[in-house]
Amino acid sequence: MIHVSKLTRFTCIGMLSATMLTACSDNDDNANGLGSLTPEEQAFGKATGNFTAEEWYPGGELGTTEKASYSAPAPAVTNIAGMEEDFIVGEGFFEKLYTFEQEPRKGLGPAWVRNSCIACHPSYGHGKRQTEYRANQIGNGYLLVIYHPDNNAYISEVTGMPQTQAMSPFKAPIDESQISIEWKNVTEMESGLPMKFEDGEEYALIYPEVTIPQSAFNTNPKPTNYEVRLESTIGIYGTGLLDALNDEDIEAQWSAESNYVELNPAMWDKEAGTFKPSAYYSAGYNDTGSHRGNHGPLKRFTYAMTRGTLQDGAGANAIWNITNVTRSDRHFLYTTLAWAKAQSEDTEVIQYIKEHGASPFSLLHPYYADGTDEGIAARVNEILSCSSIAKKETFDNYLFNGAPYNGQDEMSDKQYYQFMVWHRGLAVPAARNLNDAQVQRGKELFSQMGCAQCHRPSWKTGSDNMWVDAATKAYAQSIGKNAADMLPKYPNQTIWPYTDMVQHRLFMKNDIRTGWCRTTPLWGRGLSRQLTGADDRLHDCRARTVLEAIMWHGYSKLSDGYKATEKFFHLKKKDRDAVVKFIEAI
Amino acid sequence: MKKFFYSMAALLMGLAFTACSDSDNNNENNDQFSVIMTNPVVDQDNYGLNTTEANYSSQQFGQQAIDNCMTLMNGLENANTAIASSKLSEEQEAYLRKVLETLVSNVIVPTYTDLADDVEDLENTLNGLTVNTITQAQIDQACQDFKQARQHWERSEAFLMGAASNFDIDPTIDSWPLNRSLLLNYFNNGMDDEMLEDATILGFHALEFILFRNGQNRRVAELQGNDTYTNFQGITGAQELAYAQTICTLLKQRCFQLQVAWEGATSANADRVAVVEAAHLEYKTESGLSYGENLMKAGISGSKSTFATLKAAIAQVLSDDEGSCVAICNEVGTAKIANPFTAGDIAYVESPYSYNSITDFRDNIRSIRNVWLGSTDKTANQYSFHTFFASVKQETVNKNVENGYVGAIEAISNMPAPFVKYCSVVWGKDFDDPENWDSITEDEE
Repeated sequence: MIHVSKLTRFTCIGMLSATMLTACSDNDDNANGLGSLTPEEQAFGKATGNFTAEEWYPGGELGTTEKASYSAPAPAVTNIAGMEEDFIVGEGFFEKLYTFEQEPRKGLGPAWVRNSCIACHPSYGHGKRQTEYRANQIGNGYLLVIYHPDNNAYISEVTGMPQTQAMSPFKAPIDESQISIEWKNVTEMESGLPMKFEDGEEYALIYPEVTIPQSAFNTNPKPTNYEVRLESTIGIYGTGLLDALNDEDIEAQWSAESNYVELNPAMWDKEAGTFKPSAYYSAGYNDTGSHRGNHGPLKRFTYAMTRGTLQDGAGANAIWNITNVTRSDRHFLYTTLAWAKAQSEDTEVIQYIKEHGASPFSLLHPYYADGTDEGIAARVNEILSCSSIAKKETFDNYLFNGAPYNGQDEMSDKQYYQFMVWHRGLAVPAARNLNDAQVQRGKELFSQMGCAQCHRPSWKTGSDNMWVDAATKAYAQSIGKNAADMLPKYPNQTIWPYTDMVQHRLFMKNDIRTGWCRTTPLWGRGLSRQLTGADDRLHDCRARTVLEAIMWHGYSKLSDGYKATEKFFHLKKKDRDAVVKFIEAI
Repeated sequence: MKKFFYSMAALLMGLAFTACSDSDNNNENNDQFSVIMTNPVVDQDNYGLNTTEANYSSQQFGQQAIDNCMTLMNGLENANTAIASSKLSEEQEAYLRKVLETLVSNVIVPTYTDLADDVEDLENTLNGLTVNTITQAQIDQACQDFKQARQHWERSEAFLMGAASNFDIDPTIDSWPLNRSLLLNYFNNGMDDEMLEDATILGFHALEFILFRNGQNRRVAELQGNDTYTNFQGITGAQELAYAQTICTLLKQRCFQLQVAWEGATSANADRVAVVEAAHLEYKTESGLSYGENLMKAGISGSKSTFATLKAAIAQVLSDDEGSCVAICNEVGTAKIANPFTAGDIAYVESPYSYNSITDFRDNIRSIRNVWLGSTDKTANQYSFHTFFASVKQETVNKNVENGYVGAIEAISNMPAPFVKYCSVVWGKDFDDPENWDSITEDEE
């Protein structure tokens, strides 16, 4: 039976039962329902104003999803039969929490930074600003950065990405309850730019001051002379595309910029006009040495540009070191000697292992040794000091071949491969509203003011002849396939990440360690509020809006972004809004 | 075909009068819509269990469940595309806004309110338990409360967008597998507040472990004495019950958070808002809106909604990659079922202690049905996606989505139960809780 009804909000609220409905007539002109659906002319995917058709696809044809999403598989995944299944399993390693020994996600500890990836990348996006540091607060994307201010070197007593969680009876390297994060207001810009635009609109900037007292460290020795900063996660999507950029193209960009700005001397040889050998990635546990001639891939990931190749990049490393979940190419722990020593000297630790470690099923069994206080202490020190590949033999003895592990890796090669299919396969969301006149005006201004010099709009990927890690290779071999063909690939894609892949300095108050920070890609960021509920920006989430992020670029006259920010400052409100709207559209 | 036209005016204090006229004297003309009400295709309330021994070794049941989820996904994608690619008339746009309003008031808020009520019931039941006087009937009641709560949680998973996503509630209350060895450490060493921040030992699956084993309610004798589970033999039922009470309270706070985040603070839910605030949990968007308002005000200039347009909000509800109807359908088909089923990896079975998997999957699909119909009672609301497509005469869209969810629910129900046994037998593998399968039943609905 079909009813045609005309309803009002008022009557619907009052409607109590169907018996009150009265049928009156069936010859009504309004019985046309809601009319029909008329196709709308789609602006999407077509050239519009100062945008080309390609710019709707920031990740190119192979790397863009048309969904409003940070988590969707790219066509590079879905185009290949069967790959999406691995992508979905791999996604689980990112989204779900790790446990000590329950399949399918086991191996957490003995100390860890977080128990999952999602904890730091809420809804796959940028970390959210925090007022306290809690490792179990999902959404807290902060890493603690603890370093000596004289030489900017990380302290050695705790791991570079410091851990605040540990498996009982071990005490976490840092007691997080003693960490203080205080948010302070900028009262005036060092550059002299007023905190009010010329039309009277004000803006406010805040920054964190982070302190950790020496008493919070469960290490021997305890660190001295250190400062603390925060570094937040950014989104993960699109990293496969950046991996596909040619080293030579990135070098050309650095070379071009070297004529105008000072570049990071740790990366760039100013005299020779080339990258230094230290700009190429190498790792003791992985063969990266001869991938491209006599060196590994160019470093390009993380703010500090510490990692080349996505297959041993920030995510590949994090799934191991953030959780301390080991895999076949990482038979060692993410720990320090100072922590190992402190734990081996802790009588509560020894006593507990003595009571609970005798059973070969116990996770503490590897530390039990002969069951004497001295034996346990020595073994604790020996095992927890397995902090590099050089200690692989000790690791294999106790944490791999011995009970309760019995020769099984915590993360299998297949699981790691599936994780990397997911990681490399995450698509960039399509651009939005490019047909909007205000967005087009914003693009024009972004370029005119010089923002695009560092936030370089477009690149073309190379052949994507990627370096592949040992775990993926081992899995490929086990199923008789060629590893180089098993991960999503992005050859010859024109992409729009809005980064120059160069490190710059903004000279902000309580700036990032070393001051050098890779230009963060802007693609997809406009969806952050919808997809994650927050839109915090910059390395420590100090900017709460796009506008605040822009103004931080002008905090100091020394900033590489000062001149552009000064121009932005002088814009009329309408044009400032247009720039923001453009950034939110790409 | 019989057609009715009716216009309804105010109903006040039980007194109704009905005006049979086209010329509506009501001033609320803006809210008038001419809609075509049709009956939706819906699933049955109950399905029999497939426990035919020969079926456990057949892969076709699992494959059909996965395939039907894919079909439903396509139907939902096409529904969103039909809206997204249309130039909506003012009337259509206003109507769709009412659809979102109804979705919030008639599906999302009631579902979360039911969930919050259920968990509060469970908390009351658990708090009424002491080891010395505990009875099997009390444990059974707690198990029943748990399954009721579980049902409403699973029926909310088509709208994990918004509050559940922004406040990371899913990983906080539905994390699996349970980190049993961490839980054991804590039992051995005592608890403190900081330990209770680790989501791997919180939420539904920790409660499930304490209330159920091998698909059965726990036995009173065991809770009066020591656990018999591997490595837990030194842990008393009293310790476990005390832990269940503690984490149920935490779960309740999160469920209250979901309810008030969508509903906004009202005089009626003030007690729950107070609980949420006392637990230092947020319940508004960054701009201070409720999640209900945030959805309903999509695209309205100056509303501070996180949705730039109405269509962006509809895409989020129907087909976005996370937190939408398509997302949960994809999760059920390609992850919840496929991960354990297609690779024979029993570790991927999500509810291993209560054997509630098939019920969970089915309730996930029913959450999609509820979103589609704008109701929780299988009737199509006058403001719903169903009625919209009927009223724009796109019956095929309705047919595909509705046959899709019925097909998925039926195919899921048709998998041999319990799911964990099915996956085990199909792949010839042991589940890590080897028990006599014959004693295992999955609740019939």
